[in-house]
Amino acid sequence: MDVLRALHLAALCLAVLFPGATVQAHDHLSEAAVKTLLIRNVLAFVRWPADALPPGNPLALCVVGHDELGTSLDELNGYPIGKSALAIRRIDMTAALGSRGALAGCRAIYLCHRERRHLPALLAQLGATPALTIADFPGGAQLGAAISFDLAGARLVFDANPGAARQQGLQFDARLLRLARKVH
Amino acid sequence: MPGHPARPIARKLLIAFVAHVALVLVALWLASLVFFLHKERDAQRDTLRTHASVLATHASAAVVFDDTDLLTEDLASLRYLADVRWALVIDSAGTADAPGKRVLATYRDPPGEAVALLDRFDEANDTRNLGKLLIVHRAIAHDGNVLGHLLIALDTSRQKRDFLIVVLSSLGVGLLVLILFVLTLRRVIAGLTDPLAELAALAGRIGETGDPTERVPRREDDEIGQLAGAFNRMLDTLNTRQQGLAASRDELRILSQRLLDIREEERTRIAHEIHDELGQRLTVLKYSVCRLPEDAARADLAGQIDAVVAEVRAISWGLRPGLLDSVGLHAAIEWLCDDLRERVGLHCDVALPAKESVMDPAQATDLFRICQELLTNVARHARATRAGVAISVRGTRLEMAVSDNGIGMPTRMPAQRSLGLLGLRERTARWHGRFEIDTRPQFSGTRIRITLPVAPPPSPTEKASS
Repeated sequence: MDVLRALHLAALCLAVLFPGATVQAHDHLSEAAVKTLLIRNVLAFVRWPADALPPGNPLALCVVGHDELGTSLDELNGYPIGKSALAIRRIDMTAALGSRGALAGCRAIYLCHRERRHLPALLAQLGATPALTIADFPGGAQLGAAISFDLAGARLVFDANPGAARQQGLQFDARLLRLARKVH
Repeated sequence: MPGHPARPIARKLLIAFVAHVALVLVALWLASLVFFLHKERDAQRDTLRTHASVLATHASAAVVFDDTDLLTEDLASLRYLADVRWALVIDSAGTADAPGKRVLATYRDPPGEAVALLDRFDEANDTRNLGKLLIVHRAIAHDGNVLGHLLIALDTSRQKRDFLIVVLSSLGVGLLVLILFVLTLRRVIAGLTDPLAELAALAGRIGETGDPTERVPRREDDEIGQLAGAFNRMLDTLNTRQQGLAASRDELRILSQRLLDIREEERTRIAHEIHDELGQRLTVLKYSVCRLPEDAARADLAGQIDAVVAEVRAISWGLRPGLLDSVGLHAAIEWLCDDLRERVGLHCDVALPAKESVMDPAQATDLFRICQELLTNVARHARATRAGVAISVRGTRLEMAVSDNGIGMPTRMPAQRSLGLLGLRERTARWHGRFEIDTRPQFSGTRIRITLPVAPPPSPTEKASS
């Protein structure tokens, strides 16, 4: 509980400089923090199938390829999502695309802007793995990712693709969809 | 007229009853309004609570994402509920600069101290009354964590005012209904009982005074009016019969007086015949005897003849005392007393005024006969030792009282005796007199008083015509 409150406060402390989810373009580190916050919030409103998250196992968020967010994301380690605790993993793109088993343990995938061209292949490689695909580039949701981020003016917004999430066996909370800029 | 009354009592009662039922229904309707308003108040609160719960559930993501616009839009849905004064969404944690509560979204300008109200709520979800406002609180949570709070303020004053108005007017109408009910009921009952009481009072009055002209006023054309009419017809019938009876009685009285007169005339005739005829013959007989030689046989015979003469005289007197016609009433009454003393042995006193009144001979005869009959009654029934006759005159009124110290007159008498007294009353009534009896225990013995105005003797012209 204390950890949670600390993290919460930390996240909101950062957010006070940016009310809502606005982003100041000059501070790269702040952008990562805001994105981390958004990722965390989004994850809170996703439903995995019961057998996908057995108790005691962590909820693995896999950063595939280039890690843009860095230490900001590490602060999410141990954060409770439902009954599970988040665990940040980093997976090399080659390894991810190479073997099917590399992504088997992931429950959420993060792809940054630089790796955007690998999205279709990654999706194919994912198969039926119950993982939330977060694409940090505009149009990602349209291409098949469940969530994609975008900048609308100074605000960080997200698009949602509930169909894509369902293909992986996941379901969005309807309340999340209300907050999405666009639902595909 | 007999028949069906135009406005029967039943119809009046029915009208009154229907009117009251209508009024009661009005009162019930108002009472149901009160109930309805009460229910509406509860319904409104339930609606608000439900709406608050739904809002809180929906707002969790928006609170997490700090989406003020979405929260404001969500709160705006409160405009569909009546009497919502304000609402706000508070973020639980606050910020580093402003630790504590942070307002994320508002609806209709809540007051500055609204955030502080949060401290009053102990439970996760609660409703509190604060002055005129009803504050509904809901916790905004997700996954078991409280992310924020929703506060909605409901203004109850309008409802309370409406409620009070309906309650007071219901009470007012109820009171009015009650007053009207009592008043009209009293009037209806009075309409029934007053005429009946009037009837009873009048009947009582007629019973006491015997006034044959009194009638019951007929007020309404209902059953009681019919009763009054029937009562009046009954009085008419009784009046007619009574008059008929009075006429009969007058006739009988005249008849009885006539009979008495006839008897008196008969007696007078017989008395004269006895006195004249028999007396004369006896005188002649005595004279003849006295012419016989004087010896014991002649003396005995003369004595016997004297005895017969005395008998005849007594009988003649018994029928009609000569003294009455020649010397007057007083002397005749004295003779009656002496006769009573001689025959029965009864002590008899006489008290007469010094001067004898001049009166109609017929009246004097009646007074004599009355006295004779009364003294005969004393001798026969009274078992007395003394008797008395007293006459007193005051102005033109004469009172004759015949008294004795006997056993008194019983309340119930055999027919013959009561008839005899009735005859005496008739004689008295003929001269417009009063006939009064005083007896035991008020009087020690019996005293009968006859009081009458002295009738003047008839003038010579009247005498000639009768």
